[in-house]
Amino acid sequence: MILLRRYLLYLIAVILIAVAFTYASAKLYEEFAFIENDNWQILPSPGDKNRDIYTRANVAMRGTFALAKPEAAYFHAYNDIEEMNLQGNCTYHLFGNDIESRWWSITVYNEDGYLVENNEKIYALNSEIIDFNVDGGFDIFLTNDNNFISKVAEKNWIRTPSDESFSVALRIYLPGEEYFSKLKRVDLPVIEKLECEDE
Amino acid sequence: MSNLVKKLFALVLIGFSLHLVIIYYTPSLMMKFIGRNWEEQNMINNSFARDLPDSEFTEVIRPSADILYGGCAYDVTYFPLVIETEVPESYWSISFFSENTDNFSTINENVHSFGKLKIYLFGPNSMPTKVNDGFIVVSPSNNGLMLMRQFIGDGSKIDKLNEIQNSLDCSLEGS
Repeated sequence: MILLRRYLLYLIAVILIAVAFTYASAKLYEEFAFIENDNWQILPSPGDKNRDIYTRANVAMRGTFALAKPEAAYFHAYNDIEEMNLQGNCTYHLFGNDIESRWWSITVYNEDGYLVENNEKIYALNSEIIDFNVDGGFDIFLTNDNNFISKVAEKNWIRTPSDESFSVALRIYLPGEEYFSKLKRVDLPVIEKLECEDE
Repeated sequence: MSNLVKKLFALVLIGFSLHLVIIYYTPSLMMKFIGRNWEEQNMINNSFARDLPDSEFTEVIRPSADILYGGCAYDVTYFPLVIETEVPESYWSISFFSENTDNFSTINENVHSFGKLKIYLFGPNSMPTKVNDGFIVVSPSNNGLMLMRQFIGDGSKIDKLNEIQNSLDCSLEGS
């Protein structure tokens, strides 16, 4: 009986150690595996068959069926350019230049990673429907403020969740093989906070 | 080294090994979780079509709202799978994901620009025969998922894209 109890304790200890390693590796992975480019982060090879086991596990939990390079590049933003969390009670200005690729799109997700409920059924804007400026650049407003939306109704905007943090995905399809060798330096849109309801 | 230190070292080593096993099998478990209803929905070796995702869509995390998804789950243990479809003028891709979620192959407009497309998907232990009327893809696992993505653009050609999505056919060779 004493022996059984001892082995049970060993088993519990092993499981706890495994859980601790898994938790620590997930935290370290978040910290070090992503390439940062201003307010965006990207995994350099999310769908590749030669990716390491930690990348494979991370992608399976976050996106599951990610394409391998050079098919697509997936950037995600959780913060604005000032490194503050993207919050639903704030309005943001996302602006930049057209991105050389087959096509690209901007999508807003709620805290759980799902599309944001909205009556307008606008979940994303892609390079074929974005209204570009004369100089080739573009402006997109991310907001849940109806007054603000009424002012920019004719422009590019996407509704954000009202009372929680959110994230933005920038998907770029067929940007060319060499794009993936300069992910840290490529020109990407900037997300700037304009105003918050509580402020 | 004292007995206690040896025991602690052994526990940490076994715990770390268990951690590696957890990490290694997480993608396969996720695939099994996502595909838990595929058999009863008749999606294995049969094509399926999804509507454009909206806020109600929770099948996968971070779905793309610009893409019309179709595809089929596959089991090529005994026979190769034959995939046939038309392809649109707008961006499209047919990508294959093995049991552990690796995207081991993608066929897109760079290799086939218009018209009908045929793909033969073989399992890891089969000897692909030469084909003249399509592409050959060899899966590293017997089971997996094929996804066809069609870019909707400004949405003006959505009817045509839906038509193409419905034309997607997956069937085991000889069936």
